[in-house]
Amino acid sequence: MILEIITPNKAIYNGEAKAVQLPGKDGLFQILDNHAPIIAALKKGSIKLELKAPLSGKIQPELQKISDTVYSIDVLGGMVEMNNNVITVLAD
Amino acid sequence: MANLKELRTRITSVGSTMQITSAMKMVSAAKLKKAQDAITQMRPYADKLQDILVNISATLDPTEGAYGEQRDVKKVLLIVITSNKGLCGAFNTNVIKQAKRLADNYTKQGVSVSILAIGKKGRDTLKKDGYQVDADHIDIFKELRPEEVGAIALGVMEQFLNREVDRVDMVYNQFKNAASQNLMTEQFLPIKPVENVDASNLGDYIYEPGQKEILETLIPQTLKTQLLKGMLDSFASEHGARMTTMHKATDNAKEIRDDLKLEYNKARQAAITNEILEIVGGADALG
Repeated sequence: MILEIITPNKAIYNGEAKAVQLPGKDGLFQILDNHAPIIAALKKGSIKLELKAPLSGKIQPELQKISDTVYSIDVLGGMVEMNNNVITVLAD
Repeated sequence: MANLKELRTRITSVGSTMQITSAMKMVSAAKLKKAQDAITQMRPYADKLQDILVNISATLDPTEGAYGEQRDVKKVLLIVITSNKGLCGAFNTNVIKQAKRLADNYTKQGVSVSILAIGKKGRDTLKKDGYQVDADHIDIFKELRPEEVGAIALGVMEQFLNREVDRVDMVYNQFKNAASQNLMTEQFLPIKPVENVDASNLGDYIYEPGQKEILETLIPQTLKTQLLKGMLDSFASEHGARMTTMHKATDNAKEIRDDLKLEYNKARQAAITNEILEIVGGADALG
């Protein structure tokens, strides 16, 4: 699936992902490939992305590396929308 | 010929003015590029947010919430976005004029007006002309950060919720291109219903935790984004306006300098001719 993480400042990530873990208002949840369409509100926490391949090239400084294919980013809140296997995270 | 010296000084002073204006033009051009990038980068965010709002409003009316409450308007807050520095043509004047017109209109209807000034120019002029400027944010343009703008927006929302104000309008310059800006007046609060909802192409979404809760987070978010967009627009417009104004000023200075130079050369030639005449006259008298 395609994952996009956008903040008001800039796009942080745009590319393939295997799974993404999000701090939902009601608790942590994970979205996997081909999830049903969903819109969810996020609270303060960190987003964890599992990628298919190690990131290469320029990485935005907000992404913290956990391992080669796992990264995390701290957010203050936001929204997530998933449709047609495209996840858009609007983070603050 | 005292005139010659005078002309020379004027040429030098026009020349240094020209240097300043063209330097300012280049500085603005560089800043404009950055400001323009900031808007383009924020647009996908704003668009997506709007998409989600449209999606939800297909089933839930966003004006039902606390932020959509239409009340009898007794007190209006005007958010006036100007720049901190001048020398950018009619950029600030237009906004201030529009703000004054709005304020006067409201006052005529017996509505009290308070002004939230963002940018030094708007604050100073409006204050001087006797309008009630209750709050200002001057330093915000030094580094336009979403968090700080968000805080301002939150403050305004709180005022609305506490019934301190019944309506919030926003006056600013929208960035069109480097040479032109659109003067915009937008209703900030209460929020307006979403228009043209096309229910046919909406996805069948799962809402987590629920539509209502999402709407509650979404609306402040949208408002923050709206204010941020206004400020980014204004910031980019400022530099666009300054660039064009300074370009014109440089052109004008150049014209003046050319005229002065022509005059100077004429005077110089006249002086030389005079001198030669004197010498020739003297030689003739001797011979």
